[in-house]
Amino acid sequence: MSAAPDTLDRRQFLQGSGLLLVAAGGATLLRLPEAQAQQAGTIAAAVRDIAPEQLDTWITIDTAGRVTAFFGKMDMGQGVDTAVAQIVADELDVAVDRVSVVMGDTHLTPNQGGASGSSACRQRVSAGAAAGRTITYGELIADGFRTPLQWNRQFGNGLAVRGAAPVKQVADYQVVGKPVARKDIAGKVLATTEYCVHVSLPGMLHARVVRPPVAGSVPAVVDELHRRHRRSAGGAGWRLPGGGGAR
Amino acid sequence: MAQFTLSVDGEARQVEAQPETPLLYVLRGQLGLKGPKFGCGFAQCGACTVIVNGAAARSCMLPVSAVQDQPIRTLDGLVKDGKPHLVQLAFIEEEAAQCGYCTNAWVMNVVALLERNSAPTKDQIRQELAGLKCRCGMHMAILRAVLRAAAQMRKTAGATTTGQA
Ligand code: FES
Ligand code: FES
Repeated sequence: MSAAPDTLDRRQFLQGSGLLLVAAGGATLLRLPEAQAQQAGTIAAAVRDIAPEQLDTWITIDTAGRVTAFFGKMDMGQGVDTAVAQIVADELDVAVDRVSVVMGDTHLTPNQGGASGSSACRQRVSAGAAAGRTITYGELIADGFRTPLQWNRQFGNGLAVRGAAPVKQVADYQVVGKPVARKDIAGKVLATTEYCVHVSLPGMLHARVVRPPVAGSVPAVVDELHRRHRRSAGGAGWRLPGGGGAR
Repeated sequence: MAQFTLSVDGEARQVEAQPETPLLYVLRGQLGLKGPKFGCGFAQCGACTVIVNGAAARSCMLPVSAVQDQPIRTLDGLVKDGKPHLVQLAFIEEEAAQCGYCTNAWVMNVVALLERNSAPTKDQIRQELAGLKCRCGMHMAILRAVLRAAAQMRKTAGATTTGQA
């Protein structure tokens, strides 16, 4: 589902009927012909084709105006999903609560690597630092959506479509830089968020690191019961420096 | 292997384990709970905290044989009839989590604390929670959440004593 990029302003874009698609690799805006749009209306329910060069891999807008951004990174609670939702809301002139962000699931998003080093929401830091001026938070996170282009290349993804629509100026941001309630907290507090440690496969064993009670200890004995992780206190008896023993 | 009957979040659950198996392994591995987490396995972080007989306990060092027939409460069971506990609500309102891996520790210890003492001072809260670890550094937000939860629970104390929202 790709078409030649088309330039149109944000209002036209949002007023257009049917499903609209935007690339997350820049300010590229793309409008599908109506027939195609209707066909694509079931996109959320369908198995996603996540070819990185296809624009709907990154953003979809359904006929009810709900925006879904697909972001190929996984954070560790930094709230990148909320920041990305803010950026998208501003660039599309929609309320932030209309934007949902899907990330960290390679069934649904391209693999854009980890989110370390602020790579999910960064870029102008170095440019700004070089110019010797202060970078606002808004500027900082507004670049999050342009960064993926480079990351995509690094990860072998093919998206390199550049659009002609102007990128919003920082001064025009309504949502970026303002406090927005984090979207990820409730699941963590209510024990519904999935963590890697919840993954359970048939016959799966768990390994664990066993540490001595004091520095300098050496393992004195490793018995079968401990080795099979039946005990909580560790997998080994320890010979402590100075000749004592501990288990 | 031996059979044990545990009382978990108000329900009798049958499990099969070696007597010395940590309660945490049984709760997660056999009962599929997601609240208590494995952090250190050495009673040093609190990620595995459950409430046993009203007191916060580190389930990673608690043999399953030691808690038979004692009421065990978990983070998973704090939501009742779709309603979160007031402590959970306060954590959400104060956004007192980053990765959330430690959140179980704080919420469960705070529930146990507030059931004992509905108006703890900041110092008492700090003291009570001093042994818990949060690598994301959410401590100040957590402190605010505890104060908020305590105030909310006092406000609703006339209506309910369970802390349910
Ligand atoms: S996992 Fe039990 S205290 Fe760390
Ligand atoms: S929120 Fe990440 S360890 Fe506490």
